[in-house]
Amino acid sequence: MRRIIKPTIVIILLVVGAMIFLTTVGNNKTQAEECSGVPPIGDSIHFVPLFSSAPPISQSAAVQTATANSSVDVSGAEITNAQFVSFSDDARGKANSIGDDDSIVLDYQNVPAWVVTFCGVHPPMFLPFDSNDPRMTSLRTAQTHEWNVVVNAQTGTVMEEYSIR
Amino acid sequence: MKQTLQLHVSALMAMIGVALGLAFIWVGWVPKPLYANGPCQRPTFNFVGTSFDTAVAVYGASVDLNSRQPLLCNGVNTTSASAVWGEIASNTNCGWAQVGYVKFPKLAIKVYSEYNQQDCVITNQSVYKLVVWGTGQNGTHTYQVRFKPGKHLARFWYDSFPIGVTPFDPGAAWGPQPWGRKWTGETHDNGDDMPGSAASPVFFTNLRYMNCAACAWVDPGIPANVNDLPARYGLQQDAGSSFRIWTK
Repeated sequence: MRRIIKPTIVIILLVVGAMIFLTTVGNNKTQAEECSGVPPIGDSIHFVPLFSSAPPISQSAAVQTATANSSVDVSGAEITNAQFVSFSDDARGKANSIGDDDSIVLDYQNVPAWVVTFCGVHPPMFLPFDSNDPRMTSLRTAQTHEWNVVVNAQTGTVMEEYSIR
Repeated sequence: MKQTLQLHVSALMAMIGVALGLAFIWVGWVPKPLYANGPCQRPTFNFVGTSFDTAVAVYGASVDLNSRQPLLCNGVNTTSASAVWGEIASNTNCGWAQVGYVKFPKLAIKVYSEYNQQDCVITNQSVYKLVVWGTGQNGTHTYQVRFKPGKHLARFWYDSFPIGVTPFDPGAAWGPQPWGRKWTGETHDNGDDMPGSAASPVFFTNLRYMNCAACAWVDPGIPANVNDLPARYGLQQDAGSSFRIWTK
């Protein structure tokens, strides 16, 4: 009888251990996916990696700048990405007057930049609901998890910051 | 011997603490709070301004806001925030396009825009974005969001600076008109201050909306009648649809 019980206990322990391991791995993957820093399709922000150029601002300097200047508290957050890119934002710029779409001159087109992505951050959301609206409950508990800080790779200044989901 | 030494060290530390305390009292130095008068009490959302109104078709919302630095209940509490904004939204209010300025626990006020395509629970499949832009400048500035059916997007403006667009067509994502409109201050903790004080409030002036794509901007004619914390926040209706808010 003992010959049967012992291996069974070992097998059960191995299965439970494997389940816990796989569950943990799965969660990490989800977290990483949540903090991919990839803007929605069609968003004004888009960028492509730069591989050949040597940026005047190093990756470590960019991370330091992003951490120190982030509008959202990123202390303790994991940095999941610090990518040297050619950065464009097809929305931000200057126009002759408010609402004059045709005169817009864009600020950022193919600018060498570092996109630094912090994961595990909880940037506030600004919700439109009245506070007694029951939908507040679900949205209050919903979180965005990443915060992206774009640092100009030539000047070292912060260009913009954003969170996406 | 060891216990005696520990006792002496503890006594010494206590004496240093008492001495420092007496010294601070002697020179009249009391640490000033770097945060709002209200302590962090309960993370919640508080609004002061207009209610969400869906009475008419809405293609744009605009407001002039003067810049004021609000204090937050805790300098490092990531749930704290204070903002003032205007928006257009779907009739269900689950999709929105919003623009204004915000104070996070860190740094100065920032101009921001935020959109959500159409999802009352933000998930990985949602199309949501919050972007902050530069430091809010002193003075009064116009914050505007406008739906452009011909371009299939809504565009956000800070004065003559376009600061963002929606990556989706609100006309397709939000369903038929009438949509909604709202102008308000918002805090994320009962202890956070709204921008503005009684002596120097935040003025919501030139409230305007468009009720067709090619229409002129007009006064919405809706009252500012929402104040979630009247004991802490002030609200006063001014001429037309203008109003002011402050922290008491």
